[in-house]
Amino acid sequence: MATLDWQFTDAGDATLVELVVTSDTDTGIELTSNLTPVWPPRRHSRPAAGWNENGYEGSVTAETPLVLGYASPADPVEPPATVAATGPVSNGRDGSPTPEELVRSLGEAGPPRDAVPTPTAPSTGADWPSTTLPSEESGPDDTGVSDHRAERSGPEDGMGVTEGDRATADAPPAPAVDPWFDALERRLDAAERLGAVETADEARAAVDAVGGIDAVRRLCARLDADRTRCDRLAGVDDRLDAVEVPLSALERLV
Amino acid sequence: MRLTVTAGKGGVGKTTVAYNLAAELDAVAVDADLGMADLPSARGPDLHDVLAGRASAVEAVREGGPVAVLPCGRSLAGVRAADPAALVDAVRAVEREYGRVVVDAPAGMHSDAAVALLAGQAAVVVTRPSRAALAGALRTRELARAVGTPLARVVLNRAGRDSHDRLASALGAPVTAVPESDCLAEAHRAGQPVRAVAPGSTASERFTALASAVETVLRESSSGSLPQSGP
Repeated sequence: MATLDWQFTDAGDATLVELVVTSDTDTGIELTSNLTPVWPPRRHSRPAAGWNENGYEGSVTAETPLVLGYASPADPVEPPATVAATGPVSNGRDGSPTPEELVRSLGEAGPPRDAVPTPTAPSTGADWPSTTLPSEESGPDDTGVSDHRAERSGPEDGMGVTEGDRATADAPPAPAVDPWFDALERRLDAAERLGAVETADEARAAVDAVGGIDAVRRLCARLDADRTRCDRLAGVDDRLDAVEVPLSALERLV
Repeated sequence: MRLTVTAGKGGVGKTTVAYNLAAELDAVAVDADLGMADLPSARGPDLHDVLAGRASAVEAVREGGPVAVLPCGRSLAGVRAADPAALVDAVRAVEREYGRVVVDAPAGMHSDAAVALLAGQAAVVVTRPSRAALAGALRTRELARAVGTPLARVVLNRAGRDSHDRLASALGAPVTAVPESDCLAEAHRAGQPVRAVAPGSTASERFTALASAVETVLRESSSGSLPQSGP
């Protein structure tokens, strides 16, 4: 029987989750995060061994607890993950390593991201499929403009920015911004419930629902950060309302 | 049939061997040297596009030249966008369509070299009679062993007349010596396999023998009687 102990650290725009999995027998485990999306630890730009988009699969021994850590833009949830035993651990492995394991252990030979100039236009095929922005690597600060920080992706890790996307300033911002808006709405829901309490019992219930008074403090700190960001957004919003590109006139001129 | 041609260091003639072996075996040559591509290139989708998920491996194969080639791009952005782990599936896709594939692997000990070895059922290590090249060949032999790809042959390029028994013993595979020759250089300049330029030359005969030996090893490998590389 595997049991889970956990601890949260507020890292501003992300929640860092520390997990300790203990078991009285050697067993395989499957850990599913209740905080989504999961930003796993990375080795050579891809998720470390055992990590996937939902959590982690691995094994724990009776002698040594399994210690794991990951991040998520979501607010803390108690418990942060559920752990399920998946049966006895298979000893050793047969066959060759997978390509993924080789890349993780030996590293990519490609140039570092900063060494690659950003082209001013897609080199070929402007109609390449536009894929999602890297939800695992971009925190809420990545406002969706595909810049040099946007990692290209392998098909297996669910991210994906093509050169074409990097090259176009009009890449759709929604995939990067949406998780932040979703999290903001959840925070506002929780804050409004806390603000609406009228009796001591309701207050205690509302605080417990959020995860304790420490969680309320974290929520307040996050809302402060949200206000700062939204102030900036409001300035953009006014300009967005006011601006108008004389497209038809420009089309006639060029 | 999937064969990987590899080397511990660059400049030993790996691409020349891969190209000529592909010609002898009537195979598709896949230029998997992602950062230092050297096989003939052409417009259109290349291996960078395939490994970035923008093109299928089969549509990127060019059949027009003397050897069918899956070329590799030359741009830094292309290398950056390519996922080296996707090479194995790409090579298998070409094998399903064309039957025979020779992978021109990158030199070195990074994952791109290891994944190219993993993509082959057997490997040919190319080296030269110099200290640096031989040390590189030994390292590559170890990498092939770690990946589980058997070593079919060692090619000693620009070989002298000395005996190659010690090299064969050190690397754990028979040695095919290809002497330095003008016709090989001429074929390289013309972008042709040596058998098209100088059919009866020693170099051409050595590549024919090499292809025949590699085919035998791969047959044994598929029937399960081949040991893993080296002692």
